[in-house]
Amino acid sequence: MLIFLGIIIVGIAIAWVAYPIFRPSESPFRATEDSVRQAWEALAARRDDTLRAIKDLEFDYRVGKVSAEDFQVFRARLKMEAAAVMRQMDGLERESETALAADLEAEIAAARQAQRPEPAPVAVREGAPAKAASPSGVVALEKEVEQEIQQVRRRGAVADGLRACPRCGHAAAPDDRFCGNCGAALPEKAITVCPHCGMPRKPGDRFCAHCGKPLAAV
Amino acid sequence: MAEVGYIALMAALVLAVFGIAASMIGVRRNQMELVASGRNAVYAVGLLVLTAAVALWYSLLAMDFSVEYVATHAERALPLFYKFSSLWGGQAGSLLFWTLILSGYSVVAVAAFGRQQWELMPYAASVLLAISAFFLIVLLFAANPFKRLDFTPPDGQGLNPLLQNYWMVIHPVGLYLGFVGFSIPFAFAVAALASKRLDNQWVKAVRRWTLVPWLFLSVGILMGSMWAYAELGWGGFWAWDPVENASFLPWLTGTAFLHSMVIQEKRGMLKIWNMVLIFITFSLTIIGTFITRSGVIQSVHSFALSNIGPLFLAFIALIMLGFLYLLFERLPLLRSENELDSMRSREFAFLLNNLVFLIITFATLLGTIFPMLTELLGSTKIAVSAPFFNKVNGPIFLALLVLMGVGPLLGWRRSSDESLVRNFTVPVATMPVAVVVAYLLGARGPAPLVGLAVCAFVTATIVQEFVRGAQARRQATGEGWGTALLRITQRNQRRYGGYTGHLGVILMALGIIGATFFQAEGQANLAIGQSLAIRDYTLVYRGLSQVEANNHTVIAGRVDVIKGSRVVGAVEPHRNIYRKNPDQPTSEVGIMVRPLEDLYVVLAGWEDNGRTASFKVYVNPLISWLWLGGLVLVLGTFISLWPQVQAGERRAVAVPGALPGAAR
Repeated sequence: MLIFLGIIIVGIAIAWVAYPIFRPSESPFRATEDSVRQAWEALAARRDDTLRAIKDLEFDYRVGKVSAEDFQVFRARLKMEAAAVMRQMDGLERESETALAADLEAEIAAARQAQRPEPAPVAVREGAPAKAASPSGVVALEKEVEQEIQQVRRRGAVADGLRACPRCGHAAAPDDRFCGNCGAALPEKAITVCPHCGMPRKPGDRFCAHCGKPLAAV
Repeated sequence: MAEVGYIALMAALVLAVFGIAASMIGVRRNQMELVASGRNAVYAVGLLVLTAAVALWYSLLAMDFSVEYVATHAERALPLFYKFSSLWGGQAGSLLFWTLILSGYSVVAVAAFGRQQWELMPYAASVLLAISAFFLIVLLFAANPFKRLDFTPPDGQGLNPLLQNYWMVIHPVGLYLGFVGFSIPFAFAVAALASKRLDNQWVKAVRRWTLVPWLFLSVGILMGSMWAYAELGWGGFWAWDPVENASFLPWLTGTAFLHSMVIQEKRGMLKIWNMVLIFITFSLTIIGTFITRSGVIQSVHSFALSNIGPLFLAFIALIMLGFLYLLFERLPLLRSENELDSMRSREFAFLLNNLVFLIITFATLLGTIFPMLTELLGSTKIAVSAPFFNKVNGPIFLALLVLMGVGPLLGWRRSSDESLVRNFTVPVATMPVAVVVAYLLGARGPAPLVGLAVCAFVTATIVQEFVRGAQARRQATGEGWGTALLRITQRNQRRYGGYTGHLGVILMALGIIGATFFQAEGQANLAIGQSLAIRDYTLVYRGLSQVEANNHTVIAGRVDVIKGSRVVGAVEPHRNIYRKNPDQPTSEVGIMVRPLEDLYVVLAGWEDNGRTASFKVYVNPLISWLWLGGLVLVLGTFISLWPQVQAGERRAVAVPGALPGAAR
């Protein structure tokens, strides 16, 4: 008797394994060779890491483990990094939006050809949008950082002795000649900016051309 | 029923091999139905191995003595509980239990990850199935628990008396849950290498899956120590026995891995190192199983010599070659994202901590396999004894404790002079204070005083960390101390869970220092009414009693304990004599637990029906702090494991709707 029970269990096990092969449409996995999505995920993870690192750094500073000077430098570095990552993510999203639009157009065209009555599935969005999924604390921090990053981007350079690529905002060492991120040629010297508004200034300007405040001689 | 088990194991092996093939082909050719089939193979193997385990349990409980394993590991008079636990009381059964736990872990991991980490999953599932397949091969061809005898004996030989003890029932379960659990992070490491997803994803994915087996292993080792302490009756808790070492080695490297994965997560460094560490840890769990189960090194725990040795050696060689090949192949992809900024950084302290862990591992491993080596090279087996391990490892552990205090005080990247002064002043100042206090309390000798000073230093750093954190929070929010402490812990469970765990380690260190350096020992042959003095206790022998239990006889001595002029209690050291194994009496030590020391009384022998009896007596200062420290360690691990409710953690990967991959 028991031996039949054993055979039944073995049968169930074999059927379980064989089932997906005969019903491939029900597979929970999606075939993806989608390098864009992979790249985006990797960037998102790096962004989160960097944001968390900023939080950690701030905490270490508050409890006195990091000197004020180091804090400024490290935070600037991390923010540059976050900015660069977010820029790349923006780029990817723009890219993929155009790709998606093209995709949708093709689908709609196909649908029309097939004379299907129902509209093409536009709203198929499986993954939850990143921001809605994140807890409020991170959103707040992200917003704050993003604001600061906006400033950083406008300025092109953050703290003393630091340079940034004028094209993508990636941090650059003082003697770099090309951007390590996008390969753009970097200006000979660090871009000089107005200390009040952060807009670039031409050599010899005595007042900022953007905000009108007086500038010290370079 | 035994046949059902055997068939189930056979089918499990076939499906495991099929699952590996399906996953690998599926992921290479992008045929997701094959990947799904491979995943279901993990579930199916789990079901079949469970069936086999149930079959063996059934045979044990039904006392089917025609099955060799049941005949040699059970008997009619064995209490039900031990019939159940004798599943892992012998070699073949414990290998089946190993496989059961592995397939259990695999099922839970595959189910829990679901669609997360879907790029790693096919590879991880293959690795897990491959490990299962190895154990299934061992079970089917070298250590078959379902083997029938030609005849049916009327009764079994009974379970090894040493194993008829509650601690000995749970302790191996803890160890196995720990050992086997490390298969999961290892599988993900291999998956990351194989799939070339070598960013920090795999490390994040396996954090909990490392912490859980690590916790089980820690608890398992501690329970083993408690068992040795309460049962073996030599006054100590750790003898550096090869089997103890076998469980301790993966714990050491696993602990190193727990720490170095933080560096990879936070700083993108030590990527190769982490791969190597989890590989070593996993290999050590397999080697540990090999050592304990093949009888390759003689020890109290190795009950059998058998033919599983060559299979294990082949498997270990295969893992090593395979993993190292894969690692070298992927080496260019494992570049560090950051450089070490300064030696005065937390990264560097972590790095040193890792190094020290590895040194201890190496020293312990060398001592463990030394008898084997000498036997291979010469002809006489030369065993290395506990004093060697204590002499070598003691100072290294001390260095580790120092690092445990120093590391958290340093900032990431670089610490300036002023912050060093600010953070180190108070903890360093506690050291001389601790030495003076310990001296006044009667502690003598350089080694224990240095040890106590270091413990004080580390405790001060931990307290300071909590206080400063809470202070910073109070300044920002104006909360009270209690709320602030709670909030900082909630906001950074890993940090403060870690500190709590460290506090547990300090308590354990104090227990070890106390029992190692300040133990008192005495023995006497006493007639009824006579007494023996040790430290400030007087022990009076009151007589012997004899009780018949299920399958053994209990001989218990009664000893009154007098401190000063009043009786503070009594202890009853036992001896159990098992009917099936009368030449192997076990002892049940009489222990009187007090906050600052244990009184530990062993009944060594008796004459004239108990008119005289001989006792061995120990006073073990601070020993219960070792167990208390274990509890605190568990608490700390729970704090850092607990799912985060506060802000700060987000699901690592959230896919934006705008991406084409998500639109399908």
